[in-house]
Amino acid sequence: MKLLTHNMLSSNMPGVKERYPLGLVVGKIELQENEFDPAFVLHMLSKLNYPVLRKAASICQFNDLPEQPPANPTVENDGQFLQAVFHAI
Amino acid sequence: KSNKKKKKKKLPIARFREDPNKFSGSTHTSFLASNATIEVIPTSKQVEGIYRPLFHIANRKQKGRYPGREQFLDGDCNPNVWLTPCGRTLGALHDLYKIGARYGVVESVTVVPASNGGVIRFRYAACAELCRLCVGQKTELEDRLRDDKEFSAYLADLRTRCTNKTPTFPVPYGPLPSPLFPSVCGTTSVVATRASVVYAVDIPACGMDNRSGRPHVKGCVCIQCMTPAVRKVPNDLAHCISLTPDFISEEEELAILQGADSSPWMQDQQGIIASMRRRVQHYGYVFDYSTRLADTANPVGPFPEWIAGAVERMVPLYVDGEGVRVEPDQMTVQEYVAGKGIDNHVDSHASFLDTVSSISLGSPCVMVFGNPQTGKRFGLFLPRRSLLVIRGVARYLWSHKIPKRRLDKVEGMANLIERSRRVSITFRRVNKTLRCNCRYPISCDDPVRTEQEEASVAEYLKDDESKEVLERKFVRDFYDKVAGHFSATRHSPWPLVRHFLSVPEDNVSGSRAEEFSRTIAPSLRPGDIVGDIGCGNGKYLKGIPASCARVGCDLSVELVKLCRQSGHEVLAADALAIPFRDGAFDVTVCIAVFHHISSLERRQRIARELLRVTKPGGLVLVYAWAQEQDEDSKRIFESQDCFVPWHLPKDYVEGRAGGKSDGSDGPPRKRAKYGDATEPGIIVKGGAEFLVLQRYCHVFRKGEIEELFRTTGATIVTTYYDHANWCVLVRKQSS
Repeated sequence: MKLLTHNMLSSNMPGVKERYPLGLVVGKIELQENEFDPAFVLHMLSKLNYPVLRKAASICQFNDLPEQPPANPTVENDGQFLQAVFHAI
Repeated sequence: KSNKKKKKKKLPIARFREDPNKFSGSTHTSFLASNATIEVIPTSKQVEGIYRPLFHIANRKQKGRYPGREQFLDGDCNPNVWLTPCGRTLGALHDLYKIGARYGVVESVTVVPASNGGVIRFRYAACAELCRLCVGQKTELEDRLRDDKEFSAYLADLRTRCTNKTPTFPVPYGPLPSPLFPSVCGTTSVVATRASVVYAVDIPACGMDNRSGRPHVKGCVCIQCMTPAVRKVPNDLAHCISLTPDFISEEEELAILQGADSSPWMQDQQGIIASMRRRVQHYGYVFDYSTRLADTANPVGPFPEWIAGAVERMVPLYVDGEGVRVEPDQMTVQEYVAGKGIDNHVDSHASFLDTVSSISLGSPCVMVFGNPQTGKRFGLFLPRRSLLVIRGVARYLWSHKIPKRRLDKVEGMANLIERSRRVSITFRRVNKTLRCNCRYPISCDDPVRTEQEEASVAEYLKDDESKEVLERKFVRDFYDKVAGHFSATRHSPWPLVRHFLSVPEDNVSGSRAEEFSRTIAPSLRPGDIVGDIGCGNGKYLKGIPASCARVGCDLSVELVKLCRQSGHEVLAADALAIPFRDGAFDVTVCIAVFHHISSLERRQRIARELLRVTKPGGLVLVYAWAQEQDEDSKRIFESQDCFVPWHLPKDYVEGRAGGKSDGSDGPPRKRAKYGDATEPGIIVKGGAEFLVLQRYCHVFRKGEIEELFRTTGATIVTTYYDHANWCVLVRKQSS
């Protein structure tokens, strides 16, 4: 599962108090090569829950995401940050 | 008002500018000089390569492909002009003379050369009223003929051989001896480029190179490629189909027609499409076309005396299974005007006993027989005044239809046979028991046999617990069993859905984009997240642009596995409790899911879930099977809740060898287990064995799916009918 998907998953079990986020237990980590698309990442950033993504990424032993994302990230200035997010999602 | 081009002859221009479709008269080729465009609108999906063209003056203000286009009904077309698009490159690949000669005896051929191809006129004998026109597709011809040395040589050859005189080459096609049709008359013009042809649908290549890659038109066959009908019943069916030509004399025919026309005609209530309705008369008992059953409880008077003679001669043919003679007691008179036919059907097993016979009056036609088990088909030419009798396999298993067209191609007959008004009188014996024990359940409509099926659905729908069982066994488990086969048979995304799940800039629908957008517009922007709830084999996920994120979910684990093998981001989940957070998706689709849900309450829950996972202001598109299937569908849903069978090839069932070992050609075939489906029967089709599995379905009435979403507080953006589904596009409140 992509972490992007994990970011959207929420529990629907009746009686569960904290439905989101779902806990993550790593079975196998697979890295997939994909073409970096900065515009795509920017769009996703506006829809993601960033802290949840960061936590999930660190569970997968990827710790390159800063605690706070830049206020208004752009393609020109925050290339490295966007790359990191892309790698994560 | 003057025409741009000055012609030597005086043309009735004024008449044209009023309404070219009302044109009649002998200056039949003059319209070519006017600025009228010819538009081809097929009169029905089933018309085989023959269209009735319409003429309209291009509206100068309105530029675009179909200026001023309106809905025309069959009867409004110009009766004097016929269009035969015999393949994509008429004029370049086909022998024009042969085409022209099909319509009658060619008296002369004139060729008027022009810089880009030329005009070829065929003159036939006699009557100046009729005109036939063969036109090729303009752009194709322009391209091909401009530099086509072969075509120029052909024209030159024709020119030298037959300008203004009887053609010198042998004429292998003679006139059709028939008292009904005078020699075909008028002129046929092949206009290479002069007429502007706007095709409403694409003309199929019919096996030739489809160079431009345009899609074939469903159900259309070009005349050149049409299989001719046979005049003699195939030997293997000779024991159950008999055709007696000249069964009645011409005087008798006249008397019967007069008798029928002096009796009151009824309009039958057949179907949704007005063009299907024929005029009928019933004697003995009434046959109801909407239920396809005879009303055996209420007899409606004896046979009229104008048919008595024919019936008397026919009675020896009516025998039941034991060879006992039983006279026909039901008679239906049907009128087929030229161009009308009857859809594929098997005469009701429940309503009628074995022998069915029919006399054709007024016009010949072709009846096409089809075997639903083997798929074999053939056309049988029914001459005027002939008697057709079917029994046994031909009556109980084989279906028959009369194609809706005006011309028929018959073996051994050079020219096409023209149809005119045909009246058929069908004789049958009513089956009072309504039970049928035939060996052909695939064609059987015994209501008790089908009722038994419906009874079991009703059992399941009695309480909530059994509804869950119903969905578990006959939806979830069903899909797990057929996943591989299901996926293999579901590869083409429906165009409108694909159009919806695209970004406008990508223009995935090409030339049809404008047409589709009138129903539903592309909804995506780069960076959108799409959710496909009930994604099946990932058919729609595949087409979503890379600039958007997509996730799918499906109830069936086996289908999910197939999707993941194809690289899609998919998980197994229940639509009743979609495991995504509120507002996760910009656009959500739910295609072909709702018709598997067994109660209103559950359907409402899913509707609310779909909206919950969509962002405020986002769109949800839902498709669900309609009860109103269109005329081609093999499924007629009499009740909204039913089992629909699926025929699973034996190869897909566990225990059999088959499928690719390494999955290199796509996902390996999933093997299902023989399980606990209701009566998993085995049937044989086309020589192969299939396991019959049942799927639970609740089909939707018009307006029902819309109604479901109205109660949610969302806005209905649009509803429409597509591929036998009722569809609704909904926008979530912006909050």
